[in-house]
Amino acid sequence: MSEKITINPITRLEGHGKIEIFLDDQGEVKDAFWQVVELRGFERFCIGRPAEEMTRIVPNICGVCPSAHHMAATKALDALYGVEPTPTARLIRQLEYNAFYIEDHYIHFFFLAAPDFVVGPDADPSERNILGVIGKVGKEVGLKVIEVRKRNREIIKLIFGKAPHPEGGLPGGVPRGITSEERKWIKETADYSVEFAQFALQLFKDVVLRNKKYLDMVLSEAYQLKTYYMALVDEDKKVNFYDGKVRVIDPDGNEYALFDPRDYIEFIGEWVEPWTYIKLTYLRKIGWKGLVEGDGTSLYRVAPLARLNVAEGMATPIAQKEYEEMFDTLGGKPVHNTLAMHWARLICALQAAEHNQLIASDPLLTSKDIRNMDLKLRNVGVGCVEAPRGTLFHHYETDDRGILTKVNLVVATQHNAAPICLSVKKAAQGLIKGPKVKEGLLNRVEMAFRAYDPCLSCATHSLPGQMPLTLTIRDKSGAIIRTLKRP
Amino acid sequence: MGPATRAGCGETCLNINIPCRGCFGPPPGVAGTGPKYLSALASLLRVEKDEEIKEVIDSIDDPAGYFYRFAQPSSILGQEKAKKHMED
Repeated sequence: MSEKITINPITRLEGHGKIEIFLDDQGEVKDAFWQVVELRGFERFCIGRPAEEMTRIVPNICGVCPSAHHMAATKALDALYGVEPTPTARLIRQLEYNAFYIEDHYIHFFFLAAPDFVVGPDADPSERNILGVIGKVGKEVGLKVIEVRKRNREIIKLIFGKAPHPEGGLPGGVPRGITSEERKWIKETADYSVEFAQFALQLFKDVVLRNKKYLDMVLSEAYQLKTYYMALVDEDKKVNFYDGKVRVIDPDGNEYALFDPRDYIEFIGEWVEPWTYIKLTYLRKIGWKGLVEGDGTSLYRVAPLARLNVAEGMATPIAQKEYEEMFDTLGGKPVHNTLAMHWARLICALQAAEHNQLIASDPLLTSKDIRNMDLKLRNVGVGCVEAPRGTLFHHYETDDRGILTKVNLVVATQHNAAPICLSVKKAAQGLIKGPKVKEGLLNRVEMAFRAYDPCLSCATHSLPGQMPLTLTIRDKSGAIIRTLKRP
Repeated sequence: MGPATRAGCGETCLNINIPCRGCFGPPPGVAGTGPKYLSALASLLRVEKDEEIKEVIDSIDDPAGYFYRFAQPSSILGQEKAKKHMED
């Protein structure tokens, strides 16, 4: 092993990570690792807290997807207290959750992903950012992006107090209802968001699909990975963000499993590797097969492309048309092209906007029946939502006072962590020849993880038992007198 | 947490019917939110005997967690810096 290339820090993701690429004597890529170098501790320090506090603690796991953790916690509390939210509460929760989806998917597409496509993967890094994007597409477009996110955040603020960190998740319902006055501007926001979603998709088609260089990149072997896929689906097996059953399809697109989220532990295993703080997940019934793709793999992917691969269609009409166009263009289901996640992400944002149009017109929305108070503590509760980055599970156990005794979070980026490693390795192998590598090529390696929209702050919530630690003892002058290391 | 925390949040939580938890920390001049909050609560109680007090206290699960939710690191319990804080 003659050479090592390190990309540290990797950029335009949530959290901190690095990439290590190892070259052999011929300068070919032998191995590559996508490492998560930060650690949080939510699963430990939430123990001993009252369960109902979780909807206020877990949003702080991250500044990008607090609403996803908030909603998973709220649903875990529903299960923990054995209570069904009222139909109006369900509508209000979904209204907020869709609004969150819209603002979240656009922060990724425009701020984190678009610099690679709109400005260009090999552009000067000082240009490869949101300001570079606005420079290319014009100020008006930039203002529209800000506007659509701002207006949807107003919905989050209205229902749950503040954005991005919501406050009001309650078992059995929501803390406040919607008035007829509010319904009006919510409807306007939903209409605006549908219009914007179609504009964003057109922009993607113009910039990426009509550019042969980019389309070739999307379709290239370096950005492909054959895995299983997992996502939530509704009763008709359509894409659902808020509720439903977990469906898993195999690499050829056949249904492998369809299960209730509370049975997640039967299907999902967690695996610890010494080189990363993230716990890697795999399909438990197949068993851990290591970092391999294709027929022998037990790895599965989540997030927008997985949602579209897993479901038999979108739940709303315009999004359904876009769904059909995507699979027609990319050669049918399932699509294994990692960069197609960007396209799928925009289609999910469109469904969220269309769904909010429906909710805004639903007569039940302004009903005052917003809370079911029939609470019976059950000691165990699992909540599951489709977070923008993929399927998210919150599992709580309590004593008879409702004080937490166990917390297990399985988050989107964990499901994707092993596949991300593989994607990074494949991109590195396809793109890098020899140790003298141009910055643009390294960025193309980063694009392989960036498509997943990974959130490392969320994903590193567990303590592996021991922290690697170096303790340095210095004398008065600063000279080291002793170093203690725990590997 | 009204008597024991700073305002300035715009009553975000109260506006959506969620109780205040004091996330803005103690107001100026208060070294610890815990005792302040306890004394605010105690002034509302009508109890005569020690056993009754114990009963009230037992009705609160995890009092330290509630009263020091956002202020435990700067609590006066067992800390040198609290002395300085009080002197100031």
